[in-house]
Amino acid sequence: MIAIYTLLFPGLVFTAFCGMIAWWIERKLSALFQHRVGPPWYQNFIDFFKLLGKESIVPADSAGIMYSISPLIAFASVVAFATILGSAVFLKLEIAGDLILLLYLSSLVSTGIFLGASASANVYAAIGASREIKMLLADELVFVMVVLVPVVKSGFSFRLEAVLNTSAITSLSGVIAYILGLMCIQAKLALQPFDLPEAETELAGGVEIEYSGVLLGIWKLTKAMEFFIYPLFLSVLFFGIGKGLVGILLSVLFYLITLIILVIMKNVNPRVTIDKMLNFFWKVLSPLALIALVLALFGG
Amino acid sequence: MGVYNRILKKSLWVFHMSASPCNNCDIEVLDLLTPGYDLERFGIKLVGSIRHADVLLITGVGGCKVAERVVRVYNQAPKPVFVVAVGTCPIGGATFKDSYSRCGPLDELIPVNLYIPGCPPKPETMIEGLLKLLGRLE
Ligand code: SF4
Repeated sequence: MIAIYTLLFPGLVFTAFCGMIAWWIERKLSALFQHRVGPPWYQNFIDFFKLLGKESIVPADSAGIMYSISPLIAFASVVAFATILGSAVFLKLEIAGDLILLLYLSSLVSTGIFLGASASANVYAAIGASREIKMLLADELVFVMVVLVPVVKSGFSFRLEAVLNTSAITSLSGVIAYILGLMCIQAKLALQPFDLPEAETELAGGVEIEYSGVLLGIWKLTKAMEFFIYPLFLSVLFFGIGKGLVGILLSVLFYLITLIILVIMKNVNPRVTIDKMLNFFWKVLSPLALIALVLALFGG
Repeated sequence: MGVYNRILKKSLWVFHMSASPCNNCDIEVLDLLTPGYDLERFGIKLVGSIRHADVLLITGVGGCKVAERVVRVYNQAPKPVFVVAVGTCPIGGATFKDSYSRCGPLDELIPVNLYIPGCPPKPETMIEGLLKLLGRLE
């Protein structure tokens, strides 16, 4: 059963499919924002299959083994994240302490990216890697506090089931934490204004600059899956899952709204510098997150 | 190879390299990505690293300093890679035909799959050329 869960339904295949579609929504909406037509819906699938057929180059002076396994580390953690979250959301299955495990897995993805970039012996990748780890340091604290708000709301339970049955968004602290959570997700997905590690126009791809062929395909797949599961994580944390058909439709709607807000934020913002980003997260968002947490503790 | 080519046709990632052009061709290439022409609807995307690219798009005459870099970049590309030469420069040298610093023509350095002539070619010509390349992959 576990194999089916991991490979097929809430895990690999399902999440990859939904993630490619979510990524297409991002590309299409960005195109509409710029008065373009945009790619067809199957574009991301084609990109992925094309990358599978290309030559995979391992640069001569890179740390070869680390270079090849770090995409797999990131990919495996994303699949684990998707399976645990998906089982709780779609199948009502849960394991003990799963919220903590999810937080851990989400930072493991960034660690995988960091390892892969630093192993590839490229200066641009090195800059991207240093930015990736700084961003992890900046957004992790805020993200943990944001996640704690629904935990407090559901009566101090770290189990996903309890969190999924309460909707924290109905309170003031929930609204603040949700908005902060959106920014953390933006940083975790490396979208503008926080696309510092990739920075196509500045670092030419940054962390994945040296990757090609199958390994690049795995990075793209990881990114596509992140596109599905992070907004899903945020929306179920705060909205929970509704009862009955109307409730489920409302949950789906809330997920789509979360995704679209992320895309809009991406399109109206230019890239910030790393010091501004650190200042923003440490000096502005962390106190706000603390305020939201204290508010939640006092029942606000 | 047939199925793979049909996939590749719909998703071409382009790496743009300047081999000593007069810069007009580069500006026209950038035009292609503006909303008016929108190449993303064909799945064509400009990427920043040669390792991601399926098409190496070269403008310019191939000056002696840059010629060896062109070869190096071509060797770094993951195969299969297609080379598209934009402008009259890579073919005949255009204004720089008799320049002492010219080490072209380009096809002496690397194999070229498609030439798009013009000085500079119009974006419409380039789209037509790229779509011809898509047909030619069969
Ligand atoms: S072909 Fe003409 S426009 Fe293009 S780089 Fe050469 S001289 Fe300039």
